[in-house]
Amino acid sequence: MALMTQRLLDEEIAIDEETERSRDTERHETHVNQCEMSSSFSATSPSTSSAYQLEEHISAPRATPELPPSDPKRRKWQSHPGRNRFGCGGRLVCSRSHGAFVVTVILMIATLTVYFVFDAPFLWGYSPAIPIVAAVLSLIVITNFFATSFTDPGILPRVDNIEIIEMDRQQANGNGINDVAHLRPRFQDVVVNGEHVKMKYCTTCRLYRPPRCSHCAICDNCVLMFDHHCPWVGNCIGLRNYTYFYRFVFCLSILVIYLFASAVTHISLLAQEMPFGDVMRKTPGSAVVIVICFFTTWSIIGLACFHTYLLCADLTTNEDLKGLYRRKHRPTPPSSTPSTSAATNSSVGHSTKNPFYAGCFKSFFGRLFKSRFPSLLDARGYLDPHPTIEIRVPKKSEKSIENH
Amino acid sequence: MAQKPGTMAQMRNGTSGGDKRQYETEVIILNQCRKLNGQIFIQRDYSKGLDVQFEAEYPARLTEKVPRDVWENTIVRINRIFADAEAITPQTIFETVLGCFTCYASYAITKSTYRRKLDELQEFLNRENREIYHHVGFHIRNPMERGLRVLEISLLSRQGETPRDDVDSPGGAIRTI
Repeated sequence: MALMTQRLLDEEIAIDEETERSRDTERHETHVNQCEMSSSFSATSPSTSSAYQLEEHISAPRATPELPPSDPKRRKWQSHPGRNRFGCGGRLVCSRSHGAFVVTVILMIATLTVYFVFDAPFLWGYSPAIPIVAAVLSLIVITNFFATSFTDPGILPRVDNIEIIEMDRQQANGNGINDVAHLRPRFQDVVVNGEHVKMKYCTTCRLYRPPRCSHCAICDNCVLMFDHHCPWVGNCIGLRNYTYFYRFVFCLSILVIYLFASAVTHISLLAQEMPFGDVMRKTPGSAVVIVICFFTTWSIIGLACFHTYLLCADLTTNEDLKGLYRRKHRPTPPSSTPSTSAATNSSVGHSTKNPFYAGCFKSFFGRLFKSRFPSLLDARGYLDPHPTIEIRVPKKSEKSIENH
Repeated sequence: MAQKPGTMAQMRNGTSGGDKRQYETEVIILNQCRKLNGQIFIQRDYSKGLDVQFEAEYPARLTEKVPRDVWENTIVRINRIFADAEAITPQTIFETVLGCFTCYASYAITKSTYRRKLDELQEFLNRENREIYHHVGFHIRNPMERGLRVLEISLLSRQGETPRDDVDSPGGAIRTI
């Protein structure tokens, strides 16, 4: 028994040394990160914060090997490291920068108010259906807008230290190397439907970003199926809120055209009865609606068409902007063997087809009608730094008693 | 230390019956197990696309503990649950359309298909753990805890010896209650 305990203690010490070593390597890496990214100030703060976090985490179990007295009532969103704002006890997630979001809300509310004050009563006289349709459309637009703004876009939670340490150990054992740079190469290659896709290592979240996942510089999170960060809705657009966003943009483009047409009709009908100056004096609101709609229509219709195209081609805005699947922008093949690439594609560059594309119709409906992906953040879940499980084991008479 | 093993154990559990069939509940602190034994990580399999699937390869550390076909059965079932959750069925279409028409009020009330499948997964994992993996010192954790990136298997006992029975409370990973 004593011998066993001794052995166990040795083991424990060895493991502590190991964590120590990993901590050093971590430190080294964060240092490298800082040097590397000192030009962009936004990247420095998270790496230092992760270092602090690590420090804390490693030292905590040493001081108290038993279950430490941690507050069980803390929820996960309260210690979320990204730049997000949470509402309603973690149910709502949005970005911390919200300037443009406020502008959008004011613009939308103002336009709709003006329309319903000046145009709607007049048009009600012709047909009550006209304002009712406008009301329904605006309701759809507003709900989709808020759904986009306050839904978790598909944030990948950051990796905890235990997993990093263990991964490194497994890698080191597997390859027999002890160098951090070799342990975690910048890219990992996966084959998706026969095409090579690079998975980049995210130094902030400390994980290999899954294909189509990207790190949002504004929210400081890795977001699955990252489309873009939309300041107007004040959130990233990703896997979980893309459908809301698409419906929002699509319905908004219809609504804007509808409001524009209504206001123009209103003014032209009045202009038949009275001179134009009187019309302006009677419904100044219509003119306001026309001006606002005229200037916003083009960008919104363009956006709606663009996203319809993206849905049909199964692309994200991010991929489209980077030109990931276009020939020109791919000077080197990701990882095909040098001999074949040199023979075939050395001058032209390598074009890859989109490995996720499964046909226009299928991708369009696939992205709009899938069941909602669960929030990986689990923002309302309780933090549990020391998870325990209960297992049922057959009783072994003497040994289990020895613990007491 | 050990006084009267049989009576003590019986008192604690308050059960009587054949001593072969007796079980007791152990609380295992997973972090300590991870420090001692490490974990097995099953990575995501992206070869078919982005739908959540895990690599079906047989992890080397399971050898001699879990037969290959048992493991394959488990992983195939897990993958099938995710495949079902990601599939587009009339039900998911109905869910979405209903959500649109009710201003997403229905989302607040009803569980999504995906969520129901995750509950099913949790149930399945609990059963598999209880019936197979706990007996040989493994614990498959719910991949949701790792953001569906990896499937983590905790090793509850060390290879070669069984710290589950021998670790003392002060430094040990396991306490018996």
